Amino acid sequence: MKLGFYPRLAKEGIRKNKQLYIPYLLTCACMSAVFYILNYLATGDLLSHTHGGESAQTVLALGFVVILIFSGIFLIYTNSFLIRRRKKEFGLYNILGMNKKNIGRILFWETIISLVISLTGGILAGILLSKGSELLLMNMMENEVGFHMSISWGSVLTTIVVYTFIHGIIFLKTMVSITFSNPIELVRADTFGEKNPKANWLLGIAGVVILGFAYIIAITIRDPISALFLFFVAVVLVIIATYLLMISGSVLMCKLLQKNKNYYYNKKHFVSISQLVYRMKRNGAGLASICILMTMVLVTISTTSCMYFGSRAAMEHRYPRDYMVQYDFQGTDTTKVDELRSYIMDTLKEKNVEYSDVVEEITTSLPGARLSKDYIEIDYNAVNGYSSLDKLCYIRFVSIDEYNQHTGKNITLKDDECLSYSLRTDDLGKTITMGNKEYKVIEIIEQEEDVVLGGDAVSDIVPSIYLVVNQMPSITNDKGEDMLERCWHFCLNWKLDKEADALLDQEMNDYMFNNIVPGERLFTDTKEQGRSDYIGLYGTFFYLGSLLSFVFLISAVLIIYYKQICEGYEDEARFNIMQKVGMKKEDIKKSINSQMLTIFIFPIALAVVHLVFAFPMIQKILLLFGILDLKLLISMTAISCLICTIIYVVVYKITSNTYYKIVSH
Amino acid sequence: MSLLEVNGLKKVYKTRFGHNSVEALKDVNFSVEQGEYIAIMGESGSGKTTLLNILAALDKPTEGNIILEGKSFSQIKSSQMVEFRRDHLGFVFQEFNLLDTFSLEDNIYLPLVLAGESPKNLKKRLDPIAKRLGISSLLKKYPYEVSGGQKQRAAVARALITNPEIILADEPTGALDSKSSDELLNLFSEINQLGQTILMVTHSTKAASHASRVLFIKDGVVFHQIYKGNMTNEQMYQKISDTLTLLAQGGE
Repeated sequence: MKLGFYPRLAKEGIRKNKQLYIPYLLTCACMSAVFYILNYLATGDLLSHTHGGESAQTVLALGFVVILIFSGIFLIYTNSFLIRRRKKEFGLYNILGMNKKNIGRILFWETIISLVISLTGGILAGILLSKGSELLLMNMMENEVGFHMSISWGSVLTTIVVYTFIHGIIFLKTMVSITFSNPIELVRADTFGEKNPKANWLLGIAGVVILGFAYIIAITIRDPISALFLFFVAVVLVIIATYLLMISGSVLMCKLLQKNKNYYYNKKHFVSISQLVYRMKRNGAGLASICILMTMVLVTISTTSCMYFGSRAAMEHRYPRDYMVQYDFQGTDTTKVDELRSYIMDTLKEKNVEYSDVVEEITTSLPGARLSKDYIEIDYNAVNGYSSLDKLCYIRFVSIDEYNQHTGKNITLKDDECLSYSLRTDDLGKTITMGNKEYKVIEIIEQEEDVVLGGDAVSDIVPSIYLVVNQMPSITNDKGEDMLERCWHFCLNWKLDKEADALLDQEMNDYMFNNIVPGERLFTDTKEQGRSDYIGLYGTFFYLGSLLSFVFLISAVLIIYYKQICEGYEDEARFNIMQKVGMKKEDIKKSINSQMLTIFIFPIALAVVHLVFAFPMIQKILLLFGILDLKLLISMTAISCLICTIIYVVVYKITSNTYYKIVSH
Repeated sequence: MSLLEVNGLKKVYKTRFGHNSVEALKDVNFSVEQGEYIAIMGESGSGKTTLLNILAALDKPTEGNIILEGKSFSQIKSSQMVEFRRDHLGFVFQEFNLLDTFSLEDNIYLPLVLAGESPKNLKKRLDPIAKRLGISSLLKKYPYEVSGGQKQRAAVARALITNPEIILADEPTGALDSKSSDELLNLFSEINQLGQTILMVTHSTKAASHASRVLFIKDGVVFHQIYKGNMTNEQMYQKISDTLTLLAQGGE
C-alpha cells in the first residue's frame, strides 16, 4: 500500500525510534487491555448473575476509574520522554523548511499510528485474556463458570473512546510545546544539560516536615471510620513530600558525597556521582515517580492479598456456626424466644436435618461512651453529643448461667463481680463503672468464642465489651425508661449443601417473620450465603488489586527503562571520551553498579518506609473488613516487599544492561 | 634507542563484505626521539588520522609494528591496552573532549582516578601543572563556563597529569581562535622545552612551524620531512608552506 508523505514520515519516525516506541506502545496496549477487562467484568452479565457479583462489580467499576485516571496521567507523562528525544528531528524538519503545521501533520499521523497499534493489540489481548481473568476471578470468588467465549462490544467501544481521548490530549500537549519553541531550542532540547544545581535546603526541610506530618497522621489514627478520609490526606502529603525529598534530597546527598574526597575520587564512584549531580532535578522527579508507583504497588498488593487470604478467617469469625438467628426483643419476657427455639428444633427434626453444636445466649446491651479505661458513660444523649465516634462502644451483658452452660465451666459470681471480654477495644482494668453501677473485673476471658457468637457484634465497626454477670442489671435513664436492648443469639451447625441451606433458611424465615411484632427485629444468617459475600467480595478485591499492581509495576518498569535509555544516549559521547582517556569496560560496569547502590535503591527503600508508616492505617482499614489477623498482614506485607524488591532489582539489572550496551558499544 | 619506532605500518580498510578495500596507510616508517616535538602534516585523506589512531592504540595496523620504549604494541594484550594507553600516552583533541559533567579540576583528575591514584595525591600532582598552564583560578569552573582556549589548556593539563612518555595531539588548534592558538602553541613549545615529547597531527602551517620536525604524509607514506634546526618559527613557516605548495603541485 502506498502511504502519503506525512504518514510515511510518521511511520519512519516511529520505526527509527523503536527502542523508545515499542515499550511505550506495549504499555499503552497493556493499559487498554486491563481497562477493557475491568470494563468487561464490571458491566458484563456474568457477574451480575452470580451471588455476591453486584458488590464485586462495584469494586471493579472503582478499579476501572482508577485505571482510567492513572493511564491518562501516566501516558501523558511518559510521552514527554519520547518527545524530548524527538525534538531534534522536528527542529531539523523545521530548519529544512517545514512549518509547524506540517510538523503537526506528522505528529497527527504518529498519534494515529500509535493509537491503532496499541488499541488493536490492547483490545485483542483484552478479549483473549478476559476469559482467563473471568475464570480466575470466579475461581477466587469460589463460583462456577462456563467456558464459552464472549466479546463485549460496549466495552470495546468504551476502551476505544477513552484511549482516543487520552491520545488526543497527548497530541495537543505536544503541539503546544512544539509551537512555543524555536528550531534551535528544538535541535538542542536533547542535549540541554542542567546547570549545576544548588542544593536547596528549604525544599528538603519542607519535604521532611510534610513527610513527618503525613507519617504522624498515619500512625496516630485510632478510629477506622475517620481513617478512610485521613488516609487520602496522608497519601497526598506523602506524594508531595516524596517529590520534594527526592529532588532536593538526591542533590544534597550527591553534594555531600562529592565533598568526601576519598569516596568521590574513587573510580567506582567518580563518574556515576558526577553524572547524578549533572541531571539531578530530572533524576529526582523520575526517582520520586518510581518511588510512588512502587508504594502504590506495595500498599495495593499487601492490603488486598491480606483481605483475600484473611477472608476465610473473617468469615469464620463472623459466622461461628452454619446457621445463626438473632432476635432483638423488648422487655424481659422470653416466651417468644422459647417459641422460636422450639419451632426451629421441630422443623429440623421434621425435615431430618442433622445438626450439632447448638449454642445460645441472651445478651442485654446498651451503647455507651468509654470515657476512660474503666468508666463508661451510659447517658445516651451525652453519648450522642460526643464528637468523636471512637469512644462509642457496646456493653453486652451475658448471664453467668448461660456462660457456664456454654463453656462447661462452673463459675459463681457475686453481684458486684464480672468476667469481661473486649472485642476490638482495650481490655478492662480492675474495675468497670457505668453510671452508678460498679463491677470488679475478676477475670479477662481469653477465648473469644466463649462469649462472642458472631453476628452483629463482629461485623459492626463499633467495639463491644462483654460482661458476664450474676444478675442482669437494670439501667434506666432520667425518665425511668429501660435503656437495655435484649437480643437472643442462637446458632448451630448443620451439614447442608448450598441449595438446601438457602431453601431451609428461606422456609423458616417465612414462618418466623410472620410471628414477630413490629418493633422487634429478627434476622437469620447462614454461613453458606455469607461465604459468597465474603469470599466473592474479597476475592474481587484481590483480583483487582493484582491487576492494578500489575499496571503500576509495568509503569514503574517503563519509567526505569526510559530513564536508562535516555541517559544512555546522553552519556554515550561522554563514555566514549572516557574510554579514550583510559576507562576500561569493567570500569563502566562498576560505575553503573555504584550508581545503583547510591541512588537507585532509594525509591524502593523509601517506598518500604512509606509502607511501614502506612501499616497502622492499613491495619485499621482492614478492621472494617473484618480482617483482624495481624500476623497475616505482617507476613503479606513482608512477602510483597520482598517480591517487589526482587522485581525491582531484576528490572534494574536488565535495563542497566541496555544502558551499558548503549554507552560502551 | 628511539622513544617511539614506527616500522612498516600498513592499514587496509575493507568494506563490510570485503569486495572493496582502501589502503589508508601503505608503508609508514619513522622514529621519535625523547624530547622531540613532531608535527605530522598531510591533506585530508592522506591517512594522518588513521596514523594517529594507530599510534594511540585505538586502532590496529594491518601490518607493521609500533614500539614504545622497547615495548611492541602488538605484544600488549587487548585487555591491558586501556591501561597502557592511560599510563604511557596523553591525548589532546581538537574538540577538547572535556566532560561537561565534571568541573575542570575533575576533568583533569579523570585519568588519575581511573588509574586508581590515591585522592590525597591528586591535588599535589595538579598544582604545578595548573600553575604552568595558567588555569589555577579556573579549576572549580565547568567546561561550559570557560572559553575554548581555557578548555584546551585544561585538556592539555589532563594529558600531562599522568606524566606520559608522549603526548598525541589531534589538530589541537583546530577549534581555537588565532589568539588562543598562539597561546596554546607557545604552551606546547614550553612543555616541550621541559622535556615532554609531543606528536601533533595538524593542518595548520603555523602550528607545525613550532615543531622541531615536520613529517609530511601523502598517499599513505611519509613523503618528506623537515628539521627545524636553528630556524626561527617564521623561517620554518616559510619552508613548510613551500613544501606544501610543492606537494600540492604533484611533488615530483
